[in-house]
Amino acid sequence: MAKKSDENIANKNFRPLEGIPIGMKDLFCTNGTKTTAGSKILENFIPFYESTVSKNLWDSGAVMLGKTNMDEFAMGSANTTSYFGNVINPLNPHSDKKKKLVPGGSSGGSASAVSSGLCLGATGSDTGGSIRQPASFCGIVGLKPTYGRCSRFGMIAFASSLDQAGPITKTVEDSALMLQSMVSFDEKDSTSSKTKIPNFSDFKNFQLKGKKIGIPKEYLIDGLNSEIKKVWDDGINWFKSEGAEIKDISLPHTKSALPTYYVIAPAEASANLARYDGIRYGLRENEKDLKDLYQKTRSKGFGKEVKRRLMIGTYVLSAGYYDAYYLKALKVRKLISEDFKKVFQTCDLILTPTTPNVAFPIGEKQTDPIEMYLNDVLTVPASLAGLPAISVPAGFNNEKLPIGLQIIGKPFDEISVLGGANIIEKSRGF
Amino acid sequence: MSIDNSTVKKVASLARIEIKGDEEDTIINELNNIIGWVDELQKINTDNVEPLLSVFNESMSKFWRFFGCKQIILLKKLRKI
Repeated sequence: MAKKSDENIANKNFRPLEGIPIGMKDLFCTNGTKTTAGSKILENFIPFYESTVSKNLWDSGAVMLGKTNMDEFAMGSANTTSYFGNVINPLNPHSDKKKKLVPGGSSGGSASAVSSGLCLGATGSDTGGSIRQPASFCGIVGLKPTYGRCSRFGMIAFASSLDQAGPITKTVEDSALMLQSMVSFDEKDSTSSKTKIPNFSDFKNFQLKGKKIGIPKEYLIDGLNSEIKKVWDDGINWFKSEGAEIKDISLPHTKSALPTYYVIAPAEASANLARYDGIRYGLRENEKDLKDLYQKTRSKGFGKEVKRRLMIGTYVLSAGYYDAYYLKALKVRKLISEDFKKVFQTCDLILTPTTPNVAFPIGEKQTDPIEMYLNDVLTVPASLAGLPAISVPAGFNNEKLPIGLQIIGKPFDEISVLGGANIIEKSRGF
Repeated sequence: MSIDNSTVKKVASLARIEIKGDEEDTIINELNNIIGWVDELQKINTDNVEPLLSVFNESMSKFWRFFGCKQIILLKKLRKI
């Protein structure tokens, strides 16, 4: 890759990302390069095909520096569930340097690599906040496009109706450039969208004058950190001074989004991860009996959090509980999606914080799974509705830890989302 | 609804996950907490609400739905021979 880029550069024949070094989240299958999804069960898995997103990036001239660590099968919000060890947030303003902070998750490796300057951009994948939350914790830009924009072919599946790839970059402009090279219609993914792909760099022409920005009251949750609330207010004022009309809106089912997600995502994961059985590839524990082989392989190959979610998923899909949990969650998902549809009849964008808190020390919030799940409370609703959403750094707390704001847009309107983020980037004063 | 020993054993067996004796109590505890938390969904009125399986709503042509993508590629190849 690098050699070819060198030749192209020498011949002044530039593709859009010619020679740009990027990191690749370790759930994008890379032909001939180990792809583990942070799991022991795929410790030695070398794909013989290329994911569409990574292929698109290589075709645009990008060069892979390496694969980035992640929460096992993208299940986590602190990057502490990887079999290969924790990812550490490169930002650590604490005087006690031994107190290491989490980078967020699950795309924690990608976010850390970009934040520390190891690469110019990295791929992420977002199921319930896995791009936006680590971007917020690491002080960088993370964009989850509309569901269907990026092909899921060759991406190791977590929850197929939610998974969506996106760029993690230092600036909004880089985000638009990288997104341009990642998206495509792909006949190998049945949920890949045929919607026309615009020139995402047109976000620079985006004007807030006359635009209506929704501020959902339900996002002012109990546990919202007061410094984050202040940055949210700053964001509202920046938008106001650019001529936007600020509207108080209501998304009444916001509170139900997280429990809905924790039914749907594990249910889909329990089906998707059924393929890891020790037969065709990956780890195998040899046993005499086939069922024992499956059980031993999966018990040894999967980590605690993955097993927990597989148990939840299997339970909510099992006979007798399907209607009460899985079907119920799908109906609530419809209500959440309708909430957004209604609001977007009168609003152009929605402005919220990305996370209820800033990056926390490794080891904290580990005892109670629900406490960890609450990290995604503000990012999950847009995921369930398949909407494009970005996290952009907007301020700092008193310890100099970054605080991100989230902008949610209408389906396939990434340009306005990037445009809004650009205004925050220009107004924030750093 | 609370999850007991036999439910955990049954679910673990369906998921093909082995649960060792000393892990059982912790898992029962965690699952009960999570399912108890998720149970708040029952309070929401969803009468006459259609379930939303996926936000993807672009229709595939009947032809595609019937054959699927691989078959079409195969057919195209066969036509060339």
